[in-house]
Amino acid sequence: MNHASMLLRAFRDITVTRGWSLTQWETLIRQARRADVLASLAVRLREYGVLESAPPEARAHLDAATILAQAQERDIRREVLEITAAVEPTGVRPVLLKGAAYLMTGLPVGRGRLFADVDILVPHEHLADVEAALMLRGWVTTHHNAYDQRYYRRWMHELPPMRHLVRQTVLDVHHGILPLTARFRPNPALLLAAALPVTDHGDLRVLAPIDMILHSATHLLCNEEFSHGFRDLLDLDGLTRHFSAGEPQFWTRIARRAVELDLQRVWYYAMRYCARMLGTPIAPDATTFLDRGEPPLIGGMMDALFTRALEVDHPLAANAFSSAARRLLYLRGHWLRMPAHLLAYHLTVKAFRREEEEHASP
Amino acid sequence: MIVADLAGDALHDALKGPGMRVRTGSVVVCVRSSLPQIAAGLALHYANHALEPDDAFADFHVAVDPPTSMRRWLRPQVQFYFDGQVPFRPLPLDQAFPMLEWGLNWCVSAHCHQYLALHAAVVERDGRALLLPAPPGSGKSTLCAGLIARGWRLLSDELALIDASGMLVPMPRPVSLKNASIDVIRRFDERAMIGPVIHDTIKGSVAHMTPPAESVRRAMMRAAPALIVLPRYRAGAAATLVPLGKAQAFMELVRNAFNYHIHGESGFELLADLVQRCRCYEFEYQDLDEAAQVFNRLAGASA
Amino acid sequence: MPVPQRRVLDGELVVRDRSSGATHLLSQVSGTILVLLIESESSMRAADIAHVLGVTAPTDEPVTLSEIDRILLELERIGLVARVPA
Repeated sequence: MNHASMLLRAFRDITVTRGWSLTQWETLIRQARRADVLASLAVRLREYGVLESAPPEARAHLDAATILAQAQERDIRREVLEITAAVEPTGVRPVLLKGAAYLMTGLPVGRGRLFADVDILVPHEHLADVEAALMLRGWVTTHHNAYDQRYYRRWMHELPPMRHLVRQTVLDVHHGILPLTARFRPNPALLLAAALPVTDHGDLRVLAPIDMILHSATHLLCNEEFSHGFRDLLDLDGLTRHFSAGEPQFWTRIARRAVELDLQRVWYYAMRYCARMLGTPIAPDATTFLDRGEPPLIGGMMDALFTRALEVDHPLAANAFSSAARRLLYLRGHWLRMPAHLLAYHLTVKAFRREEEEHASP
Repeated sequence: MIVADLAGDALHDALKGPGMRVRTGSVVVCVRSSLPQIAAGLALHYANHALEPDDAFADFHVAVDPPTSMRRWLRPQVQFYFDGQVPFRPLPLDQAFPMLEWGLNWCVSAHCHQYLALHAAVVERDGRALLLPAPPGSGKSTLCAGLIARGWRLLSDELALIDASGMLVPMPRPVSLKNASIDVIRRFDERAMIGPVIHDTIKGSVAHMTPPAESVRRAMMRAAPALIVLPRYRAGAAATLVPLGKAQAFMELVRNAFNYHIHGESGFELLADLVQRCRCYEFEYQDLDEAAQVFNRLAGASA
Repeated sequence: MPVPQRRVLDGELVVRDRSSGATHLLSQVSGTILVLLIESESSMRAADIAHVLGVTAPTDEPVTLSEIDRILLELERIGLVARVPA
């Protein structure tokens, strides 16, 4: 990994930053901001007692990002409560996915996070009820274009994103974890059946640990755009380390579950890239279960493509490539909660516009 | 080394190459541009600003250039780049320098959450800082430009940055003047260095005034807040100061804060502490001279 | 519900709802009523509030019960107080 970005090097082993020059720190801050992991970097530095050795110029940015992440954490917790209350009359207990799930269950990868929206998974047969209940409490659909609506409802594993009228926050309601058009067909019923309650939040559920990891792997590899590739990689690495620690049966169990969910290839590649890029410790026999009777997996080219795609997309990262969608996600208007006249003051800040407006205009 | 020390070609070369690292108080910005208006604007308005070497830490990396997309030949445009990304829609090419200034304001107000940032002008005299919060169009910038012409130090004409201990953090940059106030300041202060007027921007006609060299030299000196004044320009009004209840002043600050929500509980306490230690007023005026006199008296009386 | 942040500035009360972040300036009477509820640590009936106000914070014109009801409704609307069953 000669061309690993500063960001990747820092997350592989945070202690290397101790000797870094101002210029290296500057690059690290820029790349971390681009990858939406600046606050996560602050958490990692603090965890390993290296934060004090960061130069004050860098500290300022780390502190600023931490303050923003803390504000988002408060907002997400509130959002989760509102969603739970809204869905409660339907009798459905929603399953929180991704970032919100990590946060509410106190996982290490939940700390220092920046959020775009909240994702929940509900059974397909209750989708209409859930959508209706949310609308009653102030959420409205986005993507009003009839074509988009049909497309989402026919082919996608989620409703068009819903936006809350007052809070302007976005909610993605999933009924599966991959679109119907995808090669792999993980059965959502299996995921829902294994979902676990969240302590102190009775009606809320999250995926079982192994399912959480497999979902993260799916997200890492099956997304249309890789603007969050690096962060997703970090999540996968973090979740895997956390749940495999002291669990001798972990690797066998997850390989088995991957087969059950038709995700064995996704799991194989995800683990491969995690190990190669972030050094995630993987049991030697982790993939033997998968290799049995499987057609040969395409090696070199896939590796090159993915390791580039998963790196941070920044002008200073040697492996940078241009991606169609660039989102200054942490700058979404509803997360900054600026008064309306101040938002307007910033000209027409594209990053503050709603996602659907971005898609609509050229 | 300051920007003025860069000979003409060196300035252009820096902007086209590795970028110019300009210090604006606590924030260092690395600016790149191929546009002559940007080079001219920097040479004129940032002449006294400190220049940092290439290996110094730059907080933000910005560029102002024509967009790389196809529209280049339709109608000349300019784009603001934030570390390679594009937060704004493009503007007509002649608005390049205003776009740089607006872009820099955005960089700070959207990212510098180590401070509580208010939409307000900040000036200082005799160690006491005056905060002028106001929505656009209230004459805040005109008043700010008028006061610094009469000897007040400029901390900022747009962004009041409050640190954790309640002190105001300077970021002296060109003062942006709009429409009628451009001529008002020209007449008020013969020595004012005002750049070209750009017409038809989203804010009307816009020009920038170079900050006083002394204000720039003292950019690292934080100031203690002492006065909060809500200004309102009104034709025919005599310069009148009316005491304002602190609770009302507090709400006004909340309304004009960029990142109040992000600061949560500590934002509430910080702003409450701020109004508690300041004298608060509403102010109406038409004549800048009268206004300057009122404020000079106010500064003297704050002992 | 968590107790809101509050500060008295020039005799008026500014409060911040800890869960939503919404910040308000309350009138003298509204502020007094809110502080009363916060400090009583248990729920109060409008009539009791009127009584306590009359005794501890008498004004030239006594605050009517209907005005107290109106204020409580407004405080409830902005999320600073909640109604509990009798």
